[in-house]
Amino acid sequence: MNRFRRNKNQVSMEINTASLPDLIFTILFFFMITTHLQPVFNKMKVDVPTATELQKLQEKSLIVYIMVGKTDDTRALHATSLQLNNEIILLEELPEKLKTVKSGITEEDQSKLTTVLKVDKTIPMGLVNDIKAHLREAGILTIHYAAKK
Amino acid sequence: MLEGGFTFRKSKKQRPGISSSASADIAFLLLVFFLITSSLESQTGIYRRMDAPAAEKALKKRAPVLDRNLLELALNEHSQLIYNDSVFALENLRELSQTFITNPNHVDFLPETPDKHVIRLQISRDADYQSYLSVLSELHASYSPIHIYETEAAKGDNP
Repeated sequence: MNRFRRNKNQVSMEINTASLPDLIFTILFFFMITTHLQPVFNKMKVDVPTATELQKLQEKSLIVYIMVGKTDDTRALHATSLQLNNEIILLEELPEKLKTVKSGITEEDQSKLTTVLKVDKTIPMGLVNDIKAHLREAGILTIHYAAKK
Repeated sequence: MLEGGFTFRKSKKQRPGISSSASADIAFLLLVFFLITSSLESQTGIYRRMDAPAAEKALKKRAPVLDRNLLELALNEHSQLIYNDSVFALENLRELSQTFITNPNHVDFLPETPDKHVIRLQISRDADYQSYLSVLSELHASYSPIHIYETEAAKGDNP
């Protein structure tokens, strides 16, 4: 009885929101650390092929992105186009551009470079092989062929 | 003079602290931004390691591969898989390469030991990329259940 009366007299409790910003910031930092922003933007349509044996991309840094796809631009010279990281290039320019990419990286890390090859499924293998030959010449030997389930 | 004195007195009376109630909102906005822009699903694909140009030369110099150790496949210009000069169904490739690699019955036309095998894949320039990745995926699949990853180095796809 005594207890009941005491509760009645008390001022209703309010939840202290002072720690709310800290809480939200913690969640924010979690997301900032665990997620990675898309480093490269597709400037073309790439419909990657399907495959069953898929591996996730392990290393998220030290990556060279090469995209081969169809251009939306009807005035373009070629029906297909090649994109290295963020710029659209010609196949002939590839060895030189790869050199520029490698020059910005230390000797030790150069061997760890991985190419993510995002190629449209309708692209003929001849073009893919040319790119592979250039990569091999440049000493970038690990390739990750992008594919989906 | 009088006005100045007035403001001085006022500021001393009520010094407003920075209101922190908005910081939760700002944090929320940032959180939403990161939630939307981040790509949670990782990129998937197939890893391959190419031989260095120097290693390629060394490979050419070594003794020719015995017929029994060699599995020859081809992708023709119509993106069809060719084995023994005839079109081969992709569904059967996994089984074929698995029996080739492991040689379960120890027959004399399949590799002596699993680590000696070589798979040669010849690809036409006009074959499409999808067919190549399908073959690659099937070959990878034939390696995974039997756990002989070390033989991967022996696998070369000579285009």
